[in-house]
Amino acid sequence: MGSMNSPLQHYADAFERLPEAARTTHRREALQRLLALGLPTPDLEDWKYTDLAALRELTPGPSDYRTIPEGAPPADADGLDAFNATFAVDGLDVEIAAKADLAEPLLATGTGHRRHRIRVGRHARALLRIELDPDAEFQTAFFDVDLAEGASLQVLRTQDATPDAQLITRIRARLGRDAKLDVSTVDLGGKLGRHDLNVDLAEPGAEVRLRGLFVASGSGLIDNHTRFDHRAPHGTSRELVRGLAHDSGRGVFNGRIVVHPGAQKTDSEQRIANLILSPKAEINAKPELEIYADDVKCAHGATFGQLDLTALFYLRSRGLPEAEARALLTLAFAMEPLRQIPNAAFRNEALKRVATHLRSDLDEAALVS
Amino acid sequence: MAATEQTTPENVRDLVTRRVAQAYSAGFVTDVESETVPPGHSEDVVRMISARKQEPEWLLEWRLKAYRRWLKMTEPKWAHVDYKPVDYQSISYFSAPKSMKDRPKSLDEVDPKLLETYKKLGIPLKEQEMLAGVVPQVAVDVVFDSVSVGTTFRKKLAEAGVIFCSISEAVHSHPDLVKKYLGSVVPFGDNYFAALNSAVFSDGSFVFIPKGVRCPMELSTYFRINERNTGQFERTLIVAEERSHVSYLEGCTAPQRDENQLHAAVVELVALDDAQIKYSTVQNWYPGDENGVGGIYNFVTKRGDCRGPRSKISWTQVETGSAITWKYPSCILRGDDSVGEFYSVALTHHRQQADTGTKMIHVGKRTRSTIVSKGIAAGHGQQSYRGLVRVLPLAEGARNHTQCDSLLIGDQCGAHTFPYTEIRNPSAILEHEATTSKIGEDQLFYCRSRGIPEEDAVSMIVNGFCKQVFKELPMEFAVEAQKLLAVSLEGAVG
Repeated sequence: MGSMNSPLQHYADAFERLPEAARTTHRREALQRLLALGLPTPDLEDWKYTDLAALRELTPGPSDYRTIPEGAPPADADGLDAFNATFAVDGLDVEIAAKADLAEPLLATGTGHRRHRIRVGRHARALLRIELDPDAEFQTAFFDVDLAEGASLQVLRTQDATPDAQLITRIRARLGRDAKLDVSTVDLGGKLGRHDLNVDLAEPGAEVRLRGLFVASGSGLIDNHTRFDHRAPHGTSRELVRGLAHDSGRGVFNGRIVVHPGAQKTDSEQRIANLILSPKAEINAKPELEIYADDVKCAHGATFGQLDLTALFYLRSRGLPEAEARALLTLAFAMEPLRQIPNAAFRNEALKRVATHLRSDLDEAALVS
Repeated sequence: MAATEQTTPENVRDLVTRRVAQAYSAGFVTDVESETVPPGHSEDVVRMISARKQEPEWLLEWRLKAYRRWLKMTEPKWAHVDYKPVDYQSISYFSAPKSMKDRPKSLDEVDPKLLETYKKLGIPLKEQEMLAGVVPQVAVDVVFDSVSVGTTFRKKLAEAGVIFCSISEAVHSHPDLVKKYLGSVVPFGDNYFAALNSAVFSDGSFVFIPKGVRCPMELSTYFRINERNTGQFERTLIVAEERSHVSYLEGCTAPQRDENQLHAAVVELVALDDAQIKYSTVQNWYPGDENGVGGIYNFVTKRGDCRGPRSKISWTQVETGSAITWKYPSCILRGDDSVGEFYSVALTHHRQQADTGTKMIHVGKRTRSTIVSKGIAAGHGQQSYRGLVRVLPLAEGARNHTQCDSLLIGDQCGAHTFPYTEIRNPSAILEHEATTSKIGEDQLFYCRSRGIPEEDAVSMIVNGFCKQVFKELPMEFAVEAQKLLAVSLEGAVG
């Protein structure tokens, strides 16, 4: 800690190597925050199970730096946010007009660190498709989302990565009155996937839904953290998450619901179900509730278990080999949250990804229909 | 160390004399006869305490190791509580029984509010005096019925082969047992407060149940003569040998006054093959006034070790006191087929804050655990359940069921749940359920329309909410606990 040569010096050096035009005041300020904070360490409760040590030395190489959305950093921005703001090469900066209805999704893809800003106007509807580079050694993508009164945004984020990919996303959203945010996530493969979803239900009647599936395999780690802040009355939040871990995979799910004083009539439900498929796999789940208002309905549940033996017996009695029967039941378990994705294109895409990943030998079409 | 081959009383006394001399040579200035060690924490204080209690060298060494470890540790900050930092140098780490002149001379001098509470709980006058710390007018053993009761009990216990005494006494009478088990469940460096306790623990209970013995009665600290002055760093050790069984009660329902703000107790339970330990607590330390002034900080480490196959440890707690509570009675399920249970009712009212829960560590095969936690928050109270269920890779067939419910009374309080689950075996089956609710207006209306006053209705509903836990308490405790809850909730509604 007290060494003369700061362990963060390489960030400053990398910054000086950026093209002249990229070294904006905004990026420079972000660098100062990064040098002050560093990347998060496992002694922070939010990073208890995820060690970014392997990423600490990595700095981005030369790239085509474009302008990124500039805005004051959020009050609780950490070193990772500062890192992203320093080295982001590009990002969407979109404002959707009031009452617009976008049929085609906005695409947040591409390589390099990315920083996006998406504003959805009053009563407008939009779709957002997120997929990081499946081969990235280290990629971050940060989203600043704002939904105005009555606006609606559906998000599908998939990670279908190679075994060496290390991917981090963070979506921070503010929901206005009666705004709806619907997020679906599918995390498959990768060495490290860390995905944060922080939602502020800032005004009355806001609603957020998360449907998620993660499959940790190989020696990969998939860590999902959500935080929903109910700050106004009559808010709704739903989380339905399934977790699978096989090989030496590690999965983490941390869902936090905070009901602030005055957020009466909040209705919140969190369901996390997990299946561990190998003796070396591990899943850590924590559904947290923090409640400061009394007239609320909050429930959460977390389960760990095995496939239903009666269902297995049923399938076998109809002639399915055990392996086949197990695969089918596992698939059904995994797909449960994704079946309810409202947008048909998103739903089919998500189910197809899962089917391909989990059961390449089973007839995809039959399962996806 | 050279002096460990034999610990005869002469040996011990010899050692102590040397130790005391050593403490003095190290520059300790206080008169050895005085009752209280001056505030501040140092190795000398640790040596002093050990010398006062005429402890053997190994125990002093153990205390010193704990102290040195404590110096390197930092106070944990992760609990969901907010309090003024404790100044560890302003605490006096050893006080012999409080001096007579500081105590109230009679019940007339005691806070009338406290007396009112005693009355509501139906506590006999003599016991009221004892609880309020009134100077006994006559020698203790003449006054209190419980003392004579205690003596008869002791005789009966001795016949069964059960050892039940203070831990300082046990250090001299059963040094081998204490040496073998002390710190074997909660090591001296386990956590910040456990290290502090290990260095300066004042006194506590020691219970040993030999092989195959079913303890003939429920053991209660209440009946132990010198219980009142075990001080702020209590240390309890309970060992149940093969096939034995014991039920232990700690605390009492009457509010206890204490000038020491910081309480850092350690409780260790060891259950060998087929043994069962049931540990029930009613904690009602002074919670501070309506504005949270005063009140005890209760930072406790309680852990049970199901060391043998088919052993069982069951924690039941009713927590209504203390300004800040930080307490996680845990079970290490080491033996195959061992069972851990945790039943808890925690209530926070006014400005009280509680961060409490349990840890179930599944190590052995087919180990099972059950967690039932009921949290009640009223006024400005903040209530957190923090629990951990960890299933290790070799814990084939582990099973856990967790249920934690919160009840909110009023819109200024808070109820929080932080359940950690860390699962590393595919055969584990776990369920965790949590709900948060308030007392329904329709429920209250129903009761009131049938002529039940609002306060009684609330108390009735709360008791229903807690029933699952109360039924685990020994019967007479359960009745008192219900009354206690009603008294603690007074003024919460309306």
